[in-house]
Amino acid sequence: MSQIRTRLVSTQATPVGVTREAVAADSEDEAVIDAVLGGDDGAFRHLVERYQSHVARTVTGMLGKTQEVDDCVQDVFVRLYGSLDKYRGEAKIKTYVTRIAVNRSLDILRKRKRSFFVPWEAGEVEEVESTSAGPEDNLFLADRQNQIRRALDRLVPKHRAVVVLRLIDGMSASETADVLGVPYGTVLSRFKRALASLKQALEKEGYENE
Amino acid sequence: MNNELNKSEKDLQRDLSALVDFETSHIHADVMTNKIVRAIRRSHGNTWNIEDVWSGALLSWFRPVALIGTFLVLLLAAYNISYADETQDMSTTERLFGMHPVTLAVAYDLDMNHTQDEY
Repeated sequence: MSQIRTRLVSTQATPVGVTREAVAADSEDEAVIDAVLGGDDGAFRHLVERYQSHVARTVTGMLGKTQEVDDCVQDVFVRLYGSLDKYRGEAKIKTYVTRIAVNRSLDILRKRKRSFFVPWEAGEVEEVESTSAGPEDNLFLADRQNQIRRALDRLVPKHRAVVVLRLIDGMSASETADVLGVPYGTVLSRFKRALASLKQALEKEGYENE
Repeated sequence: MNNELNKSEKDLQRDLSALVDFETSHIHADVMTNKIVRAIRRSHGNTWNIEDVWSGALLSWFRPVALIGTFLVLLLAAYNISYADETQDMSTTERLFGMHPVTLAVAYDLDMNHTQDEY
């Protein structure tokens, strides 16, 4: 009931039938959330536009370029919308949405483990978009990306999550700890082990640092 | 963040970012946004409007409360019937409710002894 009360408090300012002033696209996250909880559904679009590329990067980092990514990104925002009333503002909305993205990705990885999942094979990879570089360079770049992806896919999910959050999303150790809900020290040790495993996997793939 | 990484890790970070940039390059932001908004409308037909919030809350509370309430009423009725078995002079309705009918006359009669004597 307390959740309902919270929502009612936020809606009391806008009587039924009165058009609420639309929230601006560049409003603070909290203002957008208040607007959504106050019945302005269009406001949620601002949150989607603001965080979808970030969520897509996190999910793609975790899952690779698969069909599951689009569904997962969509699911992350559906869950975010459904849990907005539980958002207490203790964590930044970016941390909150990233946590949902990582948890959903881990769920999918667990499902993959149970089912037969055909990994992304180098031979089936589409070519890297043509750039000003020649075809040989593009081929080299594609090969290099395949090596990195295969090495990343070899990491256990909890190590992969730390690598994605720290190296792809560029989060600090404390932000990563907030997202994963683990102590700061655990993030540091997990990141160290994950990096060692990743470097080992990259060596097996024949990856060389430029 | 970057200060916490050594050179090889920074190189790795650059390569990983390039990989994810490439892997997400097919995603069109506008298309994705529309898809997400449609999915939300589908899955949350109701919104955060006050009427929807109340009806949602009522629907989620109604079923379990109604089920438990019905079960308790049935238990009470069964108990009353079994308890009133020995009192043969009671009607089925009286046995169901576990009491003699409360008429206006009985309700306003404060003389308990007199009431008991009647039965």
